[in-house]
Formats: sequence, C-alpha cells, structure tokens
Amino acid sequence: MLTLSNFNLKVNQHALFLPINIQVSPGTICCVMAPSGGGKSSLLSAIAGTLPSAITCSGSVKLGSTSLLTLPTHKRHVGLMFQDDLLFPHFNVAQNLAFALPHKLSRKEKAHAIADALAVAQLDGYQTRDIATLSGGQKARIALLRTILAAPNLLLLDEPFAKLDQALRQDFRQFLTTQVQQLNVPALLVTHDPQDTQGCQLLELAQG
Amino acid sequence: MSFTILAVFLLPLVVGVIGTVLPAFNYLPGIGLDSFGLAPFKQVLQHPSSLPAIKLTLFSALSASLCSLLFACFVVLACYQQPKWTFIDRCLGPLLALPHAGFAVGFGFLIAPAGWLARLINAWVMPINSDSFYPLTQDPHALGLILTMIIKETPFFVLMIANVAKQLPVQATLNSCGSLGYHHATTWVKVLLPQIMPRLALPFFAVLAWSFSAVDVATIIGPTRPSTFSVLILSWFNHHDLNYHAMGAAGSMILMTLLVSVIALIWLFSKLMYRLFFVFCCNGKRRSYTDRFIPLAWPSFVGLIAIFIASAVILCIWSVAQRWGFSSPWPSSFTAQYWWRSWEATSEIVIQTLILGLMASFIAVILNIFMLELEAQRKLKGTKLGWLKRYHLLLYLPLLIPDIAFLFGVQVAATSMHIQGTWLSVLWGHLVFVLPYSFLTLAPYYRGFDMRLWQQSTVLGASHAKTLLQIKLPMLLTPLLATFAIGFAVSITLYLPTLFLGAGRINTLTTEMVALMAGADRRAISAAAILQLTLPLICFTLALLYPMWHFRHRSLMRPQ
Repeated sequence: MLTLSNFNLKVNQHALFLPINIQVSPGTICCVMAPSGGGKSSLLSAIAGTLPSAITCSGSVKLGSTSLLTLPTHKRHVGLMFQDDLLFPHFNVAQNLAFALPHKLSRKEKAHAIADALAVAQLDGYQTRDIATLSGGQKARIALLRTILAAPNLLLLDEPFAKLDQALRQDFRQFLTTQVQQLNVPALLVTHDPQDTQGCQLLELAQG
Repeated sequence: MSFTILAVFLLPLVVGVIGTVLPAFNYLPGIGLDSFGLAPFKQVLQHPSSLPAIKLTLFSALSASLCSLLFACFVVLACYQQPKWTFIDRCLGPLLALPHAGFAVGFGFLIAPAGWLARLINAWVMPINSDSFYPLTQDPHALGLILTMIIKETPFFVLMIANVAKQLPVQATLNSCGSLGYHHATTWVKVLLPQIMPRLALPFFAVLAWSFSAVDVATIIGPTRPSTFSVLILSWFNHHDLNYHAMGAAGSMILMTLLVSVIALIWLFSKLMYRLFFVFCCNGKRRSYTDRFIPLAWPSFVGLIAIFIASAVILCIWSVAQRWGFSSPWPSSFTAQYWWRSWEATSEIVIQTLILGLMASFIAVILNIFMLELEAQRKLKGTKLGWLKRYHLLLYLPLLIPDIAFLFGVQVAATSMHIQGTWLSVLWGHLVFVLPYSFLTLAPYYRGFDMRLWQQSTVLGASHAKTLLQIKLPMLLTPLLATFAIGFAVSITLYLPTLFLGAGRINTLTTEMVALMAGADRRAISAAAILQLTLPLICFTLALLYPMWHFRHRSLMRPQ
C-alpha cells in the first residue's frame, strides 16, 4: 500500500499543487493528471529520490510501513520509467535487463529470468540484439521489463506511452496492466491521455 | 578532498615561482648569495646577447602565434562543414599527437641549406650552390623556428575553433546571411568569427606562453648566436659557474614579465578593437577580400600535411643512410646498424619515456574523472558549484606561465628535499602539464553525458559506484581513451620538466634527442626523432581503433 499524506512540493516557498492525500493498493494503477508544468514529473522524482535541491518536499510518503523520503535513491526500490526509454546504448538487450536483476542470482538464473521476461513481452530470442536495431514499441517494452526485473516495491511511470502511436499504445497499456497485477505493487502513471485513465484510480493535481 | 588534489598540484608551482623570484633578487643562500639586490637583473641586461635574444623571442613568438591563428581561421572558414572537413577533422588528432621536437628535427632536415629539398632541386630541377640559399635553420631572424611553430600550432587552433563552432548554429547563420546576400566567407568573418574569438583567448595565450619558452624546438631549429631568450636563460641555469644561476632566475623573471605584459596588451587591444570591428561588420558590404583567397585554403592545408609527411620520410631515410653526398637526392648506400646501435643506447630511455607517459596520463584521467564527476553530481542535485566553477582556470595556470620561470625554483626545492631525480618529482612535473590538456579534451564529453541515464541506473537500484563503473565510464570509453592518448602525447613532448626534475637520472626521448643535437650525428638523431614521433602515434591509433572494435555491434556508440 502506497500512502501519501499531506504531501507537497515547493519551489521558493511557492507550492506546486495543493497537498496530496491518497492511498494506492498493490496491483492497481493510479493515474496522475495535471496541466503542463503542474509538477507531475517532480512528484515522481520526489518519490524516487532524484529531486533537484531547488525543490523541497514536505509531508510523508509511506510504502507499507517504511517512510521513503529519507532513504537514498538506490535503496528505495522504486521503479521509475521515463518517457524516453533510456536504455543503455553500450549494452545489448540482455545486458540491459541483467543490470536490473538482483546481484545474488547466479548467471544461469539471470539468463532464465531474462528469457522468461522476453517471452512475456513476445520478444523471444532478442537477448543479443543491439538497442539501436529495436523499434520504439520494442524499446518501451524492454524498458518496462528492465524496471520490473529490479523487483520494485512501487512503480512510477512518467508518460511511458507518449512516444508510441495509437495501436502500440493499446498493446502496451494491456501489457502494463497485466504486469502490475502480476507484480502486485502499487503504480503511479502520469498521463495526458484520458483513455489511459479508464478503470483506474485518478489523482488530479490541483493548483494552489 | 578535491581542494587537496588541486593544492598538491599548485603548491609546488607557487613554491617554484617564489624559488625563482628570490634568486633573481640575489638571494640564494645555497650558493652564497644572501643580500637582496638588483645585481642579477643588471648582469642580465648588461650581457651582450640579452637584448637581441629578447627581440628574437618577442618577434618569433608573436608572429608564430598570430600567423597560426589566422591560418587556422582561414582553413575553418573555407572548409568547415564542407565535404573536405571530415578529412581535416580526422587529421587533427594525429597532427596534435606528434611531438614538436621530433617534427622540428625532420622539418630541419627538409629545409636546411643542404637539406632534402635543396638536394631534390639540385638533382632534378637545376644545379644549385647550397651556400647561395638563405639558411632556414638556425637563421638569424628565426624564420625556420617561426615556420615550425606555425605548422605545428595551426592544427591546434583549427581544433579549438571547430570546438567552439560546434556550439554555434553555423549552418543556420550561413543560410540566413546567405539569403541576405552575404558570401559565406564574409559571413564567417563578420558574424561567426566575432562570436568565436572571445572564447579562444585561453588557448591563444597558452600557445603564446609556449612559444615564449619553447626551449627544445628553439635549440633544434632556432637561431644560435644569439639564440632566443629562453635558450639563453637555460644556458645560464646550466652554467658551471653557479653565479650564473641568479642571472638565469632574473632572466626568467624578465621573460615572465614580458609575457604578462604582452598578454595584457593584446587583451586590452582586442577589447578596444572588438567594438570597432563591429563597425566593419555592419558596413553592409556583402563581400570582402577574404572571399578571393578561399580556393587557397584547402591546398595550403594539404601542403601542411605534406610537410609533416615529408619530414617523417626524411627522418626515416636519414636513420638508415650510410653515405649520402650533397649532389644526390638519395643516399648511395643504406644500413640498419645505426638503428641497432641507437636501440642499445636508447631502449632504457624508451622504457622510461613509456612508464612516465603512461603513468602521467593515467593519473590525469583518473583525477579529471574525479573532478568532473564531483561537478556533475553537484549539478544533478542543483547545489552550488562554488570554486569548482573556476577549477579549470586554476588548472590552466601552468600553461600561462613560462615553464622556465618556475621549474628552477621547483628544482631548488626538490634538491633541498632530496627528491630531485626521483620518479615522484618528474611525474609531478609532467602532471602539471598533462592534467590541463587532459581536462581540456575530456570535459566537453563528460559534461555532455545524459544524466537521465545516471538517474535511470540509480532507480534500478544500482549504487553510485556501480553506475559510474558500469554505465557512465563504459559509455564514455571513446573520449576517455582519446584523453589518455592526448595526455601521453603531452608527456612525451615535455622537455624542461624532465630536464630540471630528472637531474640526468631520468631521461625521456625528448631530452635524449635535444642532447644528441649537440653531437650532430644525423642518423642517431633521426632514430630518436622517429621513436619520439611514433610512440604517441601508436597510442593515438590504438585509442581510436579499440573503441571502434569494442562497439562494433553497438551502432549508437560509434562516433558519428
């Protein structure tokens, strides 16, 4: 369960939005909507721990019983996926996925996990492919797989559909919903598209 | 931590300058000078060679730096973003990696009165008497020296101008000015170069400072009686009569004062002219005189490369020549024995050169990664950069002071601490120069790294160390290796730092080659020069080819 209570972001004492109070259950997606510059990306950055120091945050973010805001980024176990895929261009597909897998797995277990993940995404046999040879939809799926393989306790998605066309969007949305249910973690999805919000919990950032 | 690193490098520099200033004012207790006074300065000014030497230094350094800057501007405005540019761009790296001294030796063999050029003309064009030529090596007006410096510094300026141009909307400017009726060369002169020039101040002053104090090249190809001022100063420092050391110190202070005043004058003059130049820029004339010379730019750059190649070829020929009379274009008989003989003598020096160069450039790369990563992290968090913002200016300090003006002081300090002639002191002497050039090469690429990839890695649970070692540094492999190669080339080039701090116990190919110049055995000199030229070239080629092989299946990582 993700709990944001009295959560707020400020730039030079000026609040970006009215304080947020929300709970998101595991396995469900909460859509975040706001006008441009409304602080959506900053909200995700604050939860993931990549906020620039010019923006200050107040209130609390709790995942289960742990408070996130005091932990360093790499110990929060928060999966953040950006609009751009941000796959590492010097790694191939398998290396990109392996980077996210827990260190304690053996080489064999890693290979299995990667093969399984690729099969789920209908990208069997793509292990040694160069990132440059993938299509936009394939890159988006690999990037999501990578985020999921890190076994996050919370998923944050910053307009992951923005660079995809309508048909791909439909596919990817389906893929995402299934993955979130299987992973059974809460997810926050930032979006502009009203179609994304159907059947989801909705959080609209109100201007103060 | 970062401040400590900088202090470790700059403190000896300050000590060095003080250690040169004190003897200049007649204070060097070690050799019995203990009363402050102006005697050393008086001695310098009374010395018959001083004034002509100072004039030669001013003339050669100023004309060489200005001419190479103009030549480089000319090449860039005629060829930038033209089909030929790819070729020029590829040539720049290797040309920069070639040490000055080795090139000067080859170039000297080419243009000397009885040099290869004269021999070829004599054999194929018309019989000539070599005495009737104006001698271009060791000539009294330092023309040979000036030519050498122009040829060697032009590629550096071309690279610097191109680096600044990359950050400007060059094509859009050319298009919009073209639609207003401006010839593209005129657009460069009136619109683009005025934007580029202010940012070339630092490289220009660095080249000027180098030309002021270049001892190795001036010894090889410069005038002898009188020599340039820095060579004269070095001869005082090397004099067996210790009283001359104070004169050397006073001479270096004069050299430094001259350099500072010349820099100040040029800076002031350019500030005044800059606004005045705008009147010319806005006079509405769509064409200027430069347009007519455009077709000459490409052939002259090709000529420059031809000179480099010819100099290398003549070095190879001389190194295996057994008998070579003046009238013939080729040696009449060849032998490899000088190679074997010189290899026996120099193998140890080659190893010392390699160790020194590899260590200096490796340490420089590591330190610069540390500094740049610190900067990147602060930028990422949005915290203030503080003194890091001025870090590079402090680094460039050694490039703007004539090396002869602080190395004597450092030598005195090193001797009193009994570390003269140790690897530690020589390594420091090399790092002082390797560090800034290495920073200059690495910084634009390191700062251009997309930090969202860093964030992506940390949100995947990777620690900072893992992100640095597995994501950022591997992605920067190409520029990191290029930086390493540049650092290595700089270390190979250094002459005075090795001479002053090596105390004869640690020698490099450069010190060996300049020492051989006194003996005038052309074969031994050629062999040493070839070795000096090839080492950085090999390093550079490997640094260029390895990433291409490493990333052969990663098309996004290949250089565009």
